[in-house]
Amino acid sequence: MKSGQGLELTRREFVTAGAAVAASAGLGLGAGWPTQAQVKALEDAGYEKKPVTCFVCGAGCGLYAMHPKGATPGERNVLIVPNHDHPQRGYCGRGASAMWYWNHPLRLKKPLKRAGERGEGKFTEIEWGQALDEIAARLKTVVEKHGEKGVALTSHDLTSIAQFFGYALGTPNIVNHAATCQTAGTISRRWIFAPPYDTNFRVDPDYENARYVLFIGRTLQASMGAQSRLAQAKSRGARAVYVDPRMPEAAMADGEWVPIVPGTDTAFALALAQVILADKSYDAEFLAKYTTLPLLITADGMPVTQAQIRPKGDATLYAVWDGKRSAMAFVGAKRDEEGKAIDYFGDLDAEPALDYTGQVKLLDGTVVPVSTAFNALVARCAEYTPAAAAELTGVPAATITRIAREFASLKGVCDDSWYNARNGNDFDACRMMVILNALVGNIDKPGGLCFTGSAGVGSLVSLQGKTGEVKNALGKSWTITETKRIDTVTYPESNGTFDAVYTAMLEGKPYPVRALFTVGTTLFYRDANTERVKKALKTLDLLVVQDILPQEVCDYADYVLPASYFLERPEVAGVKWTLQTAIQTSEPVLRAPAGCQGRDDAWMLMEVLRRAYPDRAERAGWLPEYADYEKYRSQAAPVIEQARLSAALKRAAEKDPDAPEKIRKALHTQGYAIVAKKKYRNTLWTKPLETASGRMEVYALRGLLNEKLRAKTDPLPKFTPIRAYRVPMGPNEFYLVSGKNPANGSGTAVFGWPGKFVGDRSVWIHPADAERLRVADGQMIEIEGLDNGVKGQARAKVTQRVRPGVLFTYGFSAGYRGRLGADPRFAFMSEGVNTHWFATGYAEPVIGNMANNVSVRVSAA
Amino acid sequence: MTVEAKKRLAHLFDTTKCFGCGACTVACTATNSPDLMLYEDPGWHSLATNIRRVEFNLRDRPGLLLVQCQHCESAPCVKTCPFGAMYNDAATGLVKLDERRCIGCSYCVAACPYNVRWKHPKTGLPMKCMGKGCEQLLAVGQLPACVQACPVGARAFGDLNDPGTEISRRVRNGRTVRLLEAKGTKPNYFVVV
Amino acid sequence: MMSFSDIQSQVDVARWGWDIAIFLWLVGISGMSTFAYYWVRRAPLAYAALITVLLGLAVVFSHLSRWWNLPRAVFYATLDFSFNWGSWMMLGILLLSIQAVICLVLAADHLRLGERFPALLKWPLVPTLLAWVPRLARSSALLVVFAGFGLLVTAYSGFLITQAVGVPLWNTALIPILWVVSAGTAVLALLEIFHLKGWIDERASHIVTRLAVASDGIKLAMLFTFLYVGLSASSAGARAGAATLVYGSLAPLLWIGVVLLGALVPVAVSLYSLKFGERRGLVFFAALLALGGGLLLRASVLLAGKFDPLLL
Repeated sequence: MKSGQGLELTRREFVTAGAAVAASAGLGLGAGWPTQAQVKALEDAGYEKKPVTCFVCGAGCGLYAMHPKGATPGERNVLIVPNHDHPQRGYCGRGASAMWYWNHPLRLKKPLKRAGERGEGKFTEIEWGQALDEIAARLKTVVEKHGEKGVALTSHDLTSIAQFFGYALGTPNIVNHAATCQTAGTISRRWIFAPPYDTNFRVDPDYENARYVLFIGRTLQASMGAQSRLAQAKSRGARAVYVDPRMPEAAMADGEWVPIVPGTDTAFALALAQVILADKSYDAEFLAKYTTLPLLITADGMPVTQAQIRPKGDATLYAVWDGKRSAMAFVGAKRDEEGKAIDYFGDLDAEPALDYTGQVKLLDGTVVPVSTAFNALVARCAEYTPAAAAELTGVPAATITRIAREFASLKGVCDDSWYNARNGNDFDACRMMVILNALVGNIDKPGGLCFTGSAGVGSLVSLQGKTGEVKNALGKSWTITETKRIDTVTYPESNGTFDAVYTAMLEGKPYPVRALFTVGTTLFYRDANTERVKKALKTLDLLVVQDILPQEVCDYADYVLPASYFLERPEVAGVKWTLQTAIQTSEPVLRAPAGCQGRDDAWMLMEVLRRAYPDRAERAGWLPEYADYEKYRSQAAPVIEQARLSAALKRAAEKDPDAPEKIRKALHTQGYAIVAKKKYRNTLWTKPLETASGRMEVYALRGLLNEKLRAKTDPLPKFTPIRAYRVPMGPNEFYLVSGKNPANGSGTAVFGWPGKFVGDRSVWIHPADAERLRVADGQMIEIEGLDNGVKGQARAKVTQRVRPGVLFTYGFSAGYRGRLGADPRFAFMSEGVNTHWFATGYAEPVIGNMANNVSVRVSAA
Repeated sequence: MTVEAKKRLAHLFDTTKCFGCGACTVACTATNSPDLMLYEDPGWHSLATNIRRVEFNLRDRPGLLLVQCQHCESAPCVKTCPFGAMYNDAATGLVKLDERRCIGCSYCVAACPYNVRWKHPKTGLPMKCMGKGCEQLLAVGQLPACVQACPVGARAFGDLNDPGTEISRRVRNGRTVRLLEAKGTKPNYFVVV
Repeated sequence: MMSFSDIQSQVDVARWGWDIAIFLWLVGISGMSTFAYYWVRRAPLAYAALITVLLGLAVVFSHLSRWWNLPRAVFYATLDFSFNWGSWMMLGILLLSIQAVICLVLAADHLRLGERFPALLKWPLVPTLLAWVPRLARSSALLVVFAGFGLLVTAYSGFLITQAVGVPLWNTALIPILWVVSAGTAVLALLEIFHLKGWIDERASHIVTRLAVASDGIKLAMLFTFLYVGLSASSAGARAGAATLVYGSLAPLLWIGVVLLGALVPVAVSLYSLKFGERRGLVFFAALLALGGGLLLRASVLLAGKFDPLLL
């Protein structure tokens, strides 16, 4: 066997095996996206194919790992390729680099115990037993002094694993990365669609059938499945518009780039709405039937309910003006005993008027003026004429008008956002992104903003907030008493503002958090205000970091535990970013590399629990014999995955008793199984949402109906100037915008050797600004945070891909300052700056959405 | 010196679809040079990949151009190789290297107007597209790694002598150019602009 | 990641740097030595021709990143006769092999091996071969051929790089001619050194000095022509290379190394010698400079070689 030349079969073996296939297969097999037949050809030539779900970023695209049968899989002979027919096919530079992380020279190999000060990065290697025992002992100490809630966990994409342990222990404080990532979008969807359609992949544009896609801040650097479907639409003439302070990579692919002043997305979107409303090019029927815009509201913005008008009226039926009968009507949703909406209710044949102003007589006799929520929207948008918006956004009025008209006439779709660069005022921007789709009636239609289905793959663990009941995938259930997540005390609407946990560490408010477990997440790339992060971590009694690579946060840990890599473990999951309801599987391809004792995060956490509180481990179904990692791998891990899969199979069997068999077969042979095809005009159209009204809450009731939130929130979006950072004024002051790229830009990908070349750690500057500051392309520049004076250096890249007055640098890419991972070969990771150094850590009130953009001063170095 | 081939295999790269994800560039290394995973080519300051990545600005529109061996019909590397190690494959037209005859003089590297060759640090071979890995993929009826990797169909590969192939269609219907045509190399790499 | 404006030097990729410069220089000296031998049929010149061609072959051989594969390459090329005679590299191998034999013959003539090592005469074929040596080495007709061949070898060292069409700066007829004139100047310098050592006579030296001045003059004229044409060439790579030489990072090497030290100083010394008579130390120093100037010229041109940017 010749070594080291790609696919490892000798030429003779290959030719013999492949000749027959090659003769019949021929080349240039067909449509641009190769089919399963080609992978089969490789299998016929002696290759084994294993489906894997990429985990280098949070998208989870479908891949195959190919390696020669009978040979030990390793770097030299495992080939990662896209799973072309997968509903969310891969891959990008990150996924293509998957084998670079597996046996990375810096991969964490053994448990480490801190040997110096926090931040020094000095450790000694210890055995697993010692590590877990010591952690368990220290955990107990913290719990005894501060209660279970004094223990927090955080993760990026392994939150369910952190919860698996956390809820077994009895702490509700699993707070993830969301605030600097997708909180604004998630909460905007929560307000408009209600769960489960708040999760970012439960609502997605139908890229494949789109005619016109508007991206406000979103760059689509993930998922590749989405890029693939968008490309197909574009080959049929679809257009893509990217509104962003910098030109995203995606815009290079025949997209229109609209440069915008950072933090003004809401104003831009309001102006689009203003044009559509003024042109009357909105879908009146849709708005009247399926949104809250026809609801009658009083001067204080509250909706009028039937209970206020009629004796024994229903407080969940909302007043509208029926244009057909010229009388008031009431609409809402009927709910079951558990409060789940089952059907639309009320005067279903009414034709609610959008534009109505009048009076209603309340039960007590008072007559109050009412108007429709639609009128409130019109009034809200009225001040955002294209000309006015042009002043704020820097986008020419003509462009705003044109885009609005193109969007309306083509029935475009506005992407509802995932990770966008954030300015701390993004909740309303995200709401507008969704609302634009409603205005043109493009919800759950081909080419519109659609709801995705869930295959029903069981979750690892679930917590019922009201009752405290916990259920897990080992089939166990129990109750915990503390269920309120700590960040929701300050940010009641947030889905994860970890900054609140830093406050708890530093100030002990609302109560102290003294222990933290980080599970596969890089605090320094994701959390704003780095100095504050460092200070907070230093206050902890116990910090345990679990990861595969020496992220900067490791330096502050008491214990660093090496984790398993996605290619080493099995996983079943729903396919996220696809309109088809599908399940995907990831099969283990490799063992941990020689010398590496990386183990599953769930195992580490539950073993800590078992040693600290054996009874709690037992109630969660964690048996003492799982202390033996191999036993856990062969017994517990498959049981968990099978339990999760079984939930989905059971649901599928309800429609087709043969479905489970078909699904299992499909999962094994092709890595995915489509459980249901996308049905358009389904959710919302045929059955209500879980919102208060059952309708799509363009005019949101969620804040209004909550006494605590009413005064602090607004049922409609409005533009708020940036508060997260000082707005740049002087000639050498700039916005510094952060973003991601599809070749790099994830916590794992930072370390990849390919990232040295396909990544970019420079700071982009517009040629006019560069000339004024006398900065040449490639020159080093000094960067200083306007708000906190923190300094950094980076190489300038003079490019037209950024607006004048704006700088850009990729997040999760540059400015690595870790000591544990300091290695001359990987010194490139330390180039450039991490925008979070300059960040204030501002969070939007109530919502908890944070900024990852900052403002800086620049000078030539 | 033009070579008549039964097939005329060619690459297509579409700048209107590429968004720079790097999948093809990394896949090339993984497929063709897995022995050089942590290598940095001192010439291009790049991965051990056959694909070069060039940023350009066309009429104020930034874009990306990915270049690799153009599999020229009139290849300067074939003309300059002393022992005939470089040759156009009779069946496919691809420019190939017969390792047995290569003495590592780097004449082909200096002769390539596209600058798409790089020296392997151990074998001394002048590397280029197609690498061994992709040759093996072609041998079993698969497309080269870079074409398979691309999530948005920015690449195509196939027989231009067959009007029914995807690449033939795209060359016929699209606005394509070839690079440095004036040099007389007759490249088989079509760039959609 | 490169940008459109990045024009890459061939030396970063193909690595035709100082070692190739030395090869071209040595081979050029050998070629012009056998050219000059027609007029100066002295041992030192013959030895110089032989040593430089052998050294040159050694240098270029060591440059090969797969030198160990040469026997196998020859074997397979012979098997189906795929020697590429269209390649100046292949022609060079042939030419240099023949040049080596010619130089060996010329050197052998002076070495009088048969007299010094009578034991050799006992070997088969040796007496016959040795008998042929003076016949070949002293035939005026053949010496014309050898001279022409030496010229061809020097020209080859120029054509070699013109054929590397990836580097447009080199793709000019000026290169082989410049190489011939430059190597000629170097050989004249060599002869100057031989004269100082007392190996050639005064009269020849006088001619040499005059020729050297003329030759340097022509060389400088050709060099400036080459640079001028390069600066206004139609291809960006050629322009970039010429610019690097004239006022870029290679300017010191060019202006100080090649022009000042390699040409102007030797010319000045020659003119001084012609007017005021020879100062041995000065002349020797100037001759070394002139000799070295040939190397620096080749190094400059190689290091300045750049690929064209890709144009859409």
